[in-house]
Amino acid sequence: MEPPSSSATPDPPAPDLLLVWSLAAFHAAFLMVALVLILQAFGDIQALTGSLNTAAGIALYLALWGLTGWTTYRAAADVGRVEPGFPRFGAAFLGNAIRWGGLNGFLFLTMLLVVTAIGFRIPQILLALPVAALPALIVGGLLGAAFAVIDGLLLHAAHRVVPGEGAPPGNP
Amino acid sequence: MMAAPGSEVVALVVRATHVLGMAVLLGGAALLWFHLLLSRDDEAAPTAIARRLEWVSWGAVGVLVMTGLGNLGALGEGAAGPGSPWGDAFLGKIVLVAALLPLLLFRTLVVVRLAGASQATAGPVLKWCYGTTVLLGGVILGAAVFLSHA
Repeated sequence: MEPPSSSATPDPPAPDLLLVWSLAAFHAAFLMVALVLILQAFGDIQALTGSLNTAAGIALYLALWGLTGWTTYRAAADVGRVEPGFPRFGAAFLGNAIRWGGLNGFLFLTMLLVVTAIGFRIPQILLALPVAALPALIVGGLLGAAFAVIDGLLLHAAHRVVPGEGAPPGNP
Repeated sequence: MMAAPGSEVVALVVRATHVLGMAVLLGGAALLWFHLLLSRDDEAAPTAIARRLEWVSWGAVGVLVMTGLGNLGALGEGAAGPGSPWGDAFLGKIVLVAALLPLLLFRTLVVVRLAGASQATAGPVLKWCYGTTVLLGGVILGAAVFLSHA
């Protein structure tokens, strides 16, 4: 086995874990708050609260939070490979947000169907996966794009308030 | 119809965890804000403490949203829509929460960037970030107290 060449391009640093943790928590929380806000303002909040099982709701939120954390980490790592340093809104940022957001949507749907199939003993619901996969990818990708715009604005504002290159990725 | 005793216990635990989450989110930020208010601008800003607080704060946000949904589930069909005093207060609270979340993210992004910035910049910026989120969090807390007694 050859020793690594000294001229090899070093791996980009891992994304700042606080950045990933905060972005993932923000995305999952803001999505839920926006959903409740829309239902309370324009829809039927009783339809949600009447059918909400506390344990299942908590489990699904944890699943959404966990999946969003993983996809946000991967998206941040991919953006860091193209544009190292503190992230800025751009083509790589938006593209990765759409790609990983789409995957997040698909994985969340899969988890939702599997939990429903096992919890309510209706395995035939898994047949919906091939039909619903594409809409889940699209919705996830659109949400990824929407969050990329919000994150991009806030990142831009943080750049304005604290100018310069900022801190190198540091953990924790 | 009476709720099963088990579900009442779950609802109580969820509600207590919600209150604890808000205490951590608001209390942590308020303590750091007071510390910053009492510090001189040329003193070293506690950016390392702020960074740790941001980790805890986002954990608290996750717990708050999760248990908030649980609280709604416990209300069942008793949750009132817009037009009623409770429904309007709840809508106002959710609008404020939706405004607070981007502010919290902005605060974290500033803290992440400040780790490599000069100390002269850090103090006033942190004071502004924590002050804004504490004041907005306080208004949300007031709305929550009203909702729990309405």
